[in-house]
Amino acid sequence: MTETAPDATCVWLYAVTRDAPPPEKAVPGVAGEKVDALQEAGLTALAGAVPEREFGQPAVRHNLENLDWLAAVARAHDAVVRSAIGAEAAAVPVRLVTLFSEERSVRSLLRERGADFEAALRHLDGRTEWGVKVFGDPTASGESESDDTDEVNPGTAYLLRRRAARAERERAVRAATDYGDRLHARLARLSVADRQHALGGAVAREGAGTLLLNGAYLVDDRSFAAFRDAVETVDAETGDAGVRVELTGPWPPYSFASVPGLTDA
Amino acid sequence: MPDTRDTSVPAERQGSYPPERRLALVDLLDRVLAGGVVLRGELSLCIADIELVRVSLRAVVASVSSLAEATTTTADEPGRTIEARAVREPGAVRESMAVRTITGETVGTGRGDSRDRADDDADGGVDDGFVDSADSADTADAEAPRW
Repeated sequence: MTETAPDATCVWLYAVTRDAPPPEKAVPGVAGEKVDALQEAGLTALAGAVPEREFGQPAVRHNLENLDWLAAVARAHDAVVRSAIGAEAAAVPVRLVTLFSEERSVRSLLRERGADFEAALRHLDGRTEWGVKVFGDPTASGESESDDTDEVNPGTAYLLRRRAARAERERAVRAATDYGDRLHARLARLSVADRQHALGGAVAREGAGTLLLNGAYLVDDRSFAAFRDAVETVDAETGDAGVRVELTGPWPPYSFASVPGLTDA
Repeated sequence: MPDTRDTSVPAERQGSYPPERRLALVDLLDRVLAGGVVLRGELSLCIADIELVRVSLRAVVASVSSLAEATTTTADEPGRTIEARAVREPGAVRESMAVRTITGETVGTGRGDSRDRADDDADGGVDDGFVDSADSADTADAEAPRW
């Protein structure tokens, strides 16, 4: 790494779209900078000049550990990506912290990888990412009253009840997990592509219950009504089973921004 | 013995973000960090650096998903152990896959991608990175499913 001037900038890439006019509303970038629409080879890259002292190395690595910084950057990045997506315009979102030394590098990327971006855009045309989460409420089937503990002493009876309740809860969780699997299979049939994210995310909400499914689905916009109906119908069916289904989106196609066969040259 | 139904988390473990905002943030981070096309900019972090960042981020996201932490630290309490096990078992089967997203391993609840059939069949491998330099292609190929 060479020393950088205090005011040096590098180029943060947000998304790649087809040749299109810049978004109507100016959405500021991760550094509050004006986002430029770099047009090259029939494609448009949304990119912004960001200060290297904050986004270059090694600063960015340090900053990524700062949750406030990360949250602000993630939201700004997402906002710019969303601004590139219109009714007719697909966009390939770029992963966070994709940095180039100068605009020229981005332009040459568009030239060299134009066909790949085109393929990615075609894959995303008219399709939207939706998230579906299934939460199981582990307390739903709570205590199971047991009668066969009459003849043992109260301490043992207590433990037996506890064990029974625990077993019952485990069964409930398993049933709910199976339910999540079935819903995923059903939604997968209604979508163009699907994937399951880690189950970590939604545990952050107190009282939300155990996250049993964290699915992402790339849904053809014309099929969305059927997709949504499937989510809502099943949700209604299981209303009293301690399972809750949550639909999130629309999302930029973060989970589906790739090109088959591209990686292996 | 604590009430086994008590799955609440003390407020002080929740961090500075209100639950709703943290949930939205984790959802977003799940996507912007683990998703999006991977390109090699000159100043993007190199593979080794990304590993370091990922390690660091586990700590960050752990603080976000503090309920999971609570689940871990109270694993001796039956009511919570059940939750933790129920969520972990599927991921444990393919532990390496559970790190596919950064939050996955942190929270220890990653289910992995074992049933990602549409990606392989219909979609031709959505997990594959989009990497534009030869030196990273093999690494990225190996890494991609884990991100």
